[in-house]
Amino acid sequence: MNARTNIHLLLVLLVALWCGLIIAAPVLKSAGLEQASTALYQFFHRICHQLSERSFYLAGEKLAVCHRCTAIYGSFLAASILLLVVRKQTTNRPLSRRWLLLLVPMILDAMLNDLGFVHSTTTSRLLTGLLAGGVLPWFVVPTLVDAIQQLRHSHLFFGEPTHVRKTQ
Amino acid sequence: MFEKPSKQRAIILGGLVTGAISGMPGLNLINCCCCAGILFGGALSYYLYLQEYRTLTPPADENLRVWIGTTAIDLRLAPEASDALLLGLTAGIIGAFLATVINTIVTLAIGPVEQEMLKNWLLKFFERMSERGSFPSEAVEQMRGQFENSMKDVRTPAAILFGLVANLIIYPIFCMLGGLLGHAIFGRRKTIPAVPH
Repeated sequence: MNARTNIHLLLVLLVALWCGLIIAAPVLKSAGLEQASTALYQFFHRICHQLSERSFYLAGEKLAVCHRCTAIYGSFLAASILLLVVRKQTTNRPLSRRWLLLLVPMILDAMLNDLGFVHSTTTSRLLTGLLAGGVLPWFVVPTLVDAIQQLRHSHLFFGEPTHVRKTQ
Repeated sequence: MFEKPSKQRAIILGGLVTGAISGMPGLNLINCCCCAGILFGGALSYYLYLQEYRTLTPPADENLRVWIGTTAIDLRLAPEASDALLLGLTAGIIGAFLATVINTIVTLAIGPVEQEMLKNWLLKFFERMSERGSFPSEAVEQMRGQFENSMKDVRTPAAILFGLVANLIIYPIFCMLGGLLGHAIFGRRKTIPAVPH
């Protein structure tokens, strides 16, 4: 495996860890580990409203994030794994910007609901979250892999690049 | 050899915006939409650096073009992906500290009367949303409980420290994502078709 694949794999593992923590919160709570689960709920409360009516439940307790966020992070993980499998590491350019239009349904669903024009449902939140989370890795992951490769080869952090041959 | 402009201004401004949005009560509700405020701070930081980059780079120069087949890519127009990563990470760290400080100061500074006023204002806002059908009515009670817990918790040193540690994990990650998205959207290098001879 080349360096780019290794970096991509590491990213997938980190995203999987993030999703794992979301699932761990209700599992820990139902197992009686209140302090650990409370810490996880408080951590994710910074990025999600965690409303009970808008969250999935596992083992009798709600997940650490809502329906929409669960869909986003789940589809982000799935798309990152898919990207690892189907894209050649040499063709690492992000998709065309037009694909970012897939974020618009989620933005509209949230905005129109808050303004009272439309009542968003669990299905609409799930579907729009899946679309948004599914498209982001195709932009973020190639750019992030590029960035890490550039930093690995830069003098700023790691001194002389190892691939540079020293001449007398 | 072309020297990149300094990232300081972009990082500081991006961090200030991130911290201000995330620290102010009411305004930080934006972050409930998948950390939109933090993502915005990261993207803003990249955009500001891009503007500086374009202002300081020399005019069109043959030496700053790379030919791939019959297409030239103009190297002067966009910072690298690593710039976006560093901008987002550092702006996120600044934003995390600033948000924690603002949040703590606001909560400690406002007395019980002002807290009650703020709580009532927020609850009225959510009640109006629930009347319009865009917010579940059962959730208003949950919001009341969450607000009261957050006001209670933030006063202890342990809670402030926990908040800072959580912010130092979340903000750099999402700010970095914002920066990378900004690079993917704004920072594409322009391709120039070959001029026929």
